[in-house]
Amino acid sequence: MSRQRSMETIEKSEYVTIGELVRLTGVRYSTLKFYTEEGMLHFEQAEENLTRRYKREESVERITYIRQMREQKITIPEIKAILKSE
Amino acid sequence: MKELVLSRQYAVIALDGLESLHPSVAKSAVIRAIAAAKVLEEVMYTEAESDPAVFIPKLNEAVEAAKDLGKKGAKQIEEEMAGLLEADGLMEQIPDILGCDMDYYTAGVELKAYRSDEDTYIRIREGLRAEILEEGVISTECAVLLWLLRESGCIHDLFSVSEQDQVQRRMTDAAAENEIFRAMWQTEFHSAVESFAGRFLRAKHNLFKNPYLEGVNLIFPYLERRKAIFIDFVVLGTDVQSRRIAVMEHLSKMGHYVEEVKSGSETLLKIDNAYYRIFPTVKRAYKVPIQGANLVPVYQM
Repeated sequence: MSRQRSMETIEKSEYVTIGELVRLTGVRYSTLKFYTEEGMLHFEQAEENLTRRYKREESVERITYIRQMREQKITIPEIKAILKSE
Repeated sequence: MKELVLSRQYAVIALDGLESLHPSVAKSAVIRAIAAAKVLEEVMYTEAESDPAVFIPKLNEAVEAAKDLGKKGAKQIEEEMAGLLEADGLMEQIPDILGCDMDYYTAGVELKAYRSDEDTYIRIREGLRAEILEEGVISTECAVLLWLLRESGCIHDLFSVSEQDQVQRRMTDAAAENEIFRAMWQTEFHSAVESFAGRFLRAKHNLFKNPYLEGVNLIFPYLERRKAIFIDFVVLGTDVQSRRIAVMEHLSKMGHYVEEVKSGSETLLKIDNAYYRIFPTVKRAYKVPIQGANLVPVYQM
């Protein structure tokens, strides 16, 4: 059991969980999970059963970037290709 | 994003979509849960939240507060909570979607409903979903929120049928390791709501697991939190899309946020924070056919 981290702490952390990413960006959990499974969002995991950790700054930037592309009506396969080429 | 205490987080999720002017069983369950949350807040966010010797007696006190809540007290809690959230711009009162139904609309019945701020609603709801459905440690705040949602019949708003099994497994595992979670998971106050609802709801409790009547092992009680409605229109010789647009225009005129959402081959309507399936239909009044569309709530899929 642990206590939920405050937004202030999350905003200063180097690594965050997917739940904290949801709180930071307001993007749905299922969407972030999809991005993760599609390799669009990178994470670190010490062992298979442990929580996935995301680099906060890098992930928030990437989610914002993906959102902007989605708003421009770019499809997911196209976004994947763009992210891969960068 | 503003940090909200437990009772407010819960209220943003649970009051959303409920009728505000008149009492209902679903609202009674939510107000009882808010009363319980307020008691638990006294030990939350302190070291005491992980001390069973302090937390468990408080949990019992919270359950008593929820069970003993009278009509006057419930009204007071509802007004206070709605007022606080409205002052923070996190909630507003809009015409209830039931008021858009042909029968209610033409009768001029005034029905209002709570609508939570969409961004706050998503952050709280999806944050909870992520913490419960992902492997990893579950915080006390998250577990308490889940327990309150379970006791007030809101689980179907958050988790699909398959996810509910996952939630149950996660909480069973957590309860095996943690005394506080175990005590909380075994504690319930929804029976107080059920006695209010009568025997019909108790029969449902034993039979149904979800709103679509799939399965027989009910884990969480189900309350009617969303409504199916019929909207009439006169748009002859039009296609499905233009009829859908006519419905959307009517709902927008009534003060709702409406957008089309693609879900596989079908198009759903997202009305405020809930999803609806729309299909054309004909109703008969005094043998006169009335063209229109049915809107049926869609829960987590």
